[in-house]
Amino acid sequence: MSPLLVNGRTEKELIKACLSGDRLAQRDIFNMYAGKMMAVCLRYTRHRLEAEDIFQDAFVKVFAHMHEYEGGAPFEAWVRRIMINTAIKNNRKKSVTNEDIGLEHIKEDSAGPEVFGALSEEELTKLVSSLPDGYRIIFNLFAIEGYSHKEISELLNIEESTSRSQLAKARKILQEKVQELYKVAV
Amino acid sequence: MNQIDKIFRNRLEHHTTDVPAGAWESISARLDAEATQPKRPILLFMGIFVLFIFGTMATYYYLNSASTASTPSASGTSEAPHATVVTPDQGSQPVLFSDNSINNTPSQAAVPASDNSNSVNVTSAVSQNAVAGLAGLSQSIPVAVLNEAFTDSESLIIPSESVEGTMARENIEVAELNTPSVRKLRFFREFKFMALPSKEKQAAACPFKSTINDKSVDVYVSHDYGHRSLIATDASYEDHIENRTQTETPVYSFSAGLRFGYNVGYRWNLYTGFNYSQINEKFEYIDPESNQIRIITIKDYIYQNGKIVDSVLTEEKVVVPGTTKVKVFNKYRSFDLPVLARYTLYADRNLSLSAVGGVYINLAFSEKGMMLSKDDAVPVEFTSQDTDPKGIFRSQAGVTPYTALSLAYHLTGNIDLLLEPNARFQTRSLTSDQYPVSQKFNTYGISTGLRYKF
Repeated sequence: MSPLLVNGRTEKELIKACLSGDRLAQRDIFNMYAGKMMAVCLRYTRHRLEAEDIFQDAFVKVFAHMHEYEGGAPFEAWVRRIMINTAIKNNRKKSVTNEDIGLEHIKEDSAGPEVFGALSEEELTKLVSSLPDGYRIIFNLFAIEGYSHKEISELLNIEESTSRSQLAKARKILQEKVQELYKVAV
Repeated sequence: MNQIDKIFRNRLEHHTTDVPAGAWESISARLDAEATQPKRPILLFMGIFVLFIFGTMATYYYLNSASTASTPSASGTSEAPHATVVTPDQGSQPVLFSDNSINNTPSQAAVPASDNSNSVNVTSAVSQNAVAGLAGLSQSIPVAVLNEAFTDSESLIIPSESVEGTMARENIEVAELNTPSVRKLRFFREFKFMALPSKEKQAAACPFKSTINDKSVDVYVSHDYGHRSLIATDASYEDHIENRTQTETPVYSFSAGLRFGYNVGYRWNLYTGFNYSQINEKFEYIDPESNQIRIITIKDYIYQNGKIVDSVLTEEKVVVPGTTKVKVFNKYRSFDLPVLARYTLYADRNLSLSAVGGVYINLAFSEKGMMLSKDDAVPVEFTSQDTDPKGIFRSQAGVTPYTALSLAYHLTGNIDLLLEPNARFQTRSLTSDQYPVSQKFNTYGISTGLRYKF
C-alpha cells in the first residue's frame, strides 16, 4: 500500500520537514490529525472551551517535541498520547477534588448496553464528558484507549483497585444518564 | 471488556469533530513566539563548555608546572657558570661575569683600558660542574644536570679604548637538583541523573531514536592530555623511571575521527568509525656529543704618538663540550576502530545528554622520539620505522576502554554540536614483554564536533 500523500508528501517526509521547522509541513500535519484529536480532547473535558485549550497546548507540544518521536509506533498514536497526557495534566492543575459519587442513587434497572448503540457519536461524547473528572479519565483510558488498569494506575498514580472501582462507577453513571436521556425523549 | 466499553470504543476511537476556527493560526503564533524566546539551555551549554575548558586548562597547567618544577632559573645557584676575562692589568685576578651581569649590564663589565699594550688575553671558561654531560651521568649524578643548557645567543661587548671583546655566548639554565614530587591527579566526581519517573516521560528521552533520523555521522576533534604511567617490572629500573620522569613531560595531545551511528533501540545507538590519536611528550636533555663554540673577537689598537693609527682584529674559538640543550617531541600515534554504544540520559528540544562507552580497537601503533636508555641513561632514538633493535615498543596497542559524557546541542533538525568530555584507559602496556618498564597512557580529553543525522 502506498503511503498517504498530503500535498505530494508522505507523512514521513512531512515529519522530517517539521523537524527542520517547515511551517507548511506543520500545518499539513495539523490538518491531518486535528479533527481526531479535537474529538479526543472533547472526551477528556467537561466543556468545549477547556477542550480547545488542551487541543492547542497539545499541538504546540507536538511540534516542539517532534524530534522525540521514536518512530516505533504510528505517529498518530504518538500525537494522541500527547493529547491524553496534556488533558490529564490539565485535570491535575484544576485541583478539583474528585467528586464522590456513590452508586446508591443509581437505580438497579439501568439501561442496557443496546441503548448506547442508538446514540450518535456526539451524544456519546457528551455522555463521557458529563462524567465527573476522575471517572471520565479512567473510562476514556480503559474503555476507549485500551489501557490496562495497571497502566492507568501508573499513569495517574493511583491504586489499581481504585481504577477498577471508578470504572465500574463510570459505567453505572453512563447507564443512568442514557436512561434519563431516553426518558426525556419518550 | 464490557459491552458498553466496546460500543464507546467502536464509535469514538476514530471519531472526528470540527476543529475550532483559527486554531492553527493560534498554534502557529505560539510556535513563533517560542522560537524567539531566549533559550536558557544555550546559556547552560555555554557555561558548561567554558567551565570545562577552564578546568582542562587549569589541570593541564597544574600538571605541567608539577612536572617541569625541575628546571628553575639559574640565579642564586652555586652551579651557575661564569665567563672569566683576564687582562694583563689585573694580573692573575680574573674578572667574573655572572650570567646576570652579562645579560643585563654589559657596560659594567668593562675591562679597564690598558695603556700601550697591543694585546689582551681573553679566555672563557665554564664551570666544569655545570657542563657535565650525560656521558658522565651515573647513579650519583642527579638527572637534573641533564637540563642544564645554553640557549638564546647574545653578545658581550666590552667597550674600552684599548680592548673590545665580543663574545658569543649562550644563556645557561641550571636545574635544581631536587627531585620534584610526583602528584597524582585525582577526580572525585559523582554524577547523579534523575531516573525518568513515569511512562509519560519516557517519550521525552531520545531525540535521535527515530525511524526519521536513525543514522548519524560524527566528525570530531578531541583535545587530550596523556597521563603516562611507568611501572618497572624489575626494581633495579626504578632509577630509570625517575630519569625518564625528569626528562619527559606531557604536552598537548589530540585525537580526531569520524564515526557512524545507528539507532538500535530505545535510547540506544551504536557507533563505529575511525579514530586517529597522537599523544605528545617533550623530551629535554643535554646532548653529550654536542660542543658549544664560543668565538671571542679581540680588537687591538696600534698607537703612534698617543694616537690610534691602526687596529688588528683577531678571533679565538673556545669549545665547551656537551652544553647544548636538545628538545625532542616524542609522538605516539595510533589508528583505532571505535566500537561504542551511546545511551541517552536526558533530552529536550535543545539539548541531549548521553553516556558513551565502549572500546577502541587498535589497528596500528607507531612511535617516534627519544628517551634515556634503560641501562646507561644516554639518549636513544626510538622509531617504529627502524627495525627497532632496542625492541622497546609493540606495534599494536591492543584494546582500550573508552567512556564519555556526550552533550549535544541541536543546531538544526539535522545537525548537532557536540561536546564530549572523554577518557581512554590503556589496559595493555605499549612496551614489549622483554622491556623491563611497562608504559601506558590514560588519556583525558574534551572532544568537540558536529553530528549530522539523516
